[in-house]
Amino acid sequence: MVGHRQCIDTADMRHNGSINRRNIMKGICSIILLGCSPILLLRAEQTDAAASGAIRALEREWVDAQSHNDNRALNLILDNSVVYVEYGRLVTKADYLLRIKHQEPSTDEIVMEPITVRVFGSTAIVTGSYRETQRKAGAHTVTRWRFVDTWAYKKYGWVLIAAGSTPVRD
Amino acid sequence: MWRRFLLTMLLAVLASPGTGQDSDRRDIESKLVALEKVGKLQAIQLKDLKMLNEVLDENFVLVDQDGLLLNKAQILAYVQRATSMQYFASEMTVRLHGSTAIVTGVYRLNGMLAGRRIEQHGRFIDTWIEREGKWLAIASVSTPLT
Repeated sequence: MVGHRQCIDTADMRHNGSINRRNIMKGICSIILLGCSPILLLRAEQTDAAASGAIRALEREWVDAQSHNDNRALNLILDNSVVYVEYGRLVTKADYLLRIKHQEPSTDEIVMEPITVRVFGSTAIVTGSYRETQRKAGAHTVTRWRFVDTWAYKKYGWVLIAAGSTPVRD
Repeated sequence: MWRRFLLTMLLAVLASPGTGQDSDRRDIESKLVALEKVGKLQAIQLKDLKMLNEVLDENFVLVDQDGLLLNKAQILAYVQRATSMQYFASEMTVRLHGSTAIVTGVYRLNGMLAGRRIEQHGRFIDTWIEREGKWLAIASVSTPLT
């Protein structure tokens, strides 16, 4: 009887011991998780910041490549199935590259204004505005445009998958 | 005989994921067109702010035909203030890039806002992302048709 009681006690103790161990493990895990969460958040912020920096650089490269008729660079920046709306027209990558190829360099001047990049994992949205100066027959017209660009992170990095701009009405 | 059977089976197995992917793709495309029609067009027409609130991400941004930049709260307020809205879309095309989708189309918007008539005819590009099995609109740009 005593032995049985002792046995039960031993089992209880073992059970209590395993609960205690489990609680200790839970506590340790909670501490690790709590300790790691700011690190994970920081890492996510750093990833977003890195993505934002890369996309800002690509936006500058795009403007630069367009003004220098650099179709090779444009080919890398634009995804093959990019959707581009220019003056209300839906333009494919081939149409756009063809236009740039035959466009006289530096006839149009583009001055970028501050842009905002919002990163949603492997997708990023860029909003901003720019001033375009077009020179034709000695005269020049200035138009301010506001745009939305969509970038996607693919196998070889960020590529432009959609872009649309609209003239800002004063 | 067995060889032919095994070859047929192998071909069937190899072909099935592609067919499945195509059907998944079509399902997603149909879902996005439906979301554009019900979640956006119909919600704006019926001033269904609850539906709009569900389909637009908290960080949603819109550049409208006049070049104005609006956030989600400003869009909801705009729809709420409008006295009547008729919104039609056509030529909708969906391009999928994994869990990101680009929807393009042509739209016509007629309505009244603060006693002023609104008439717009343009092209739009909408960006959607899939998050936890749900598609959310994150950006839109409209430009007048020329």
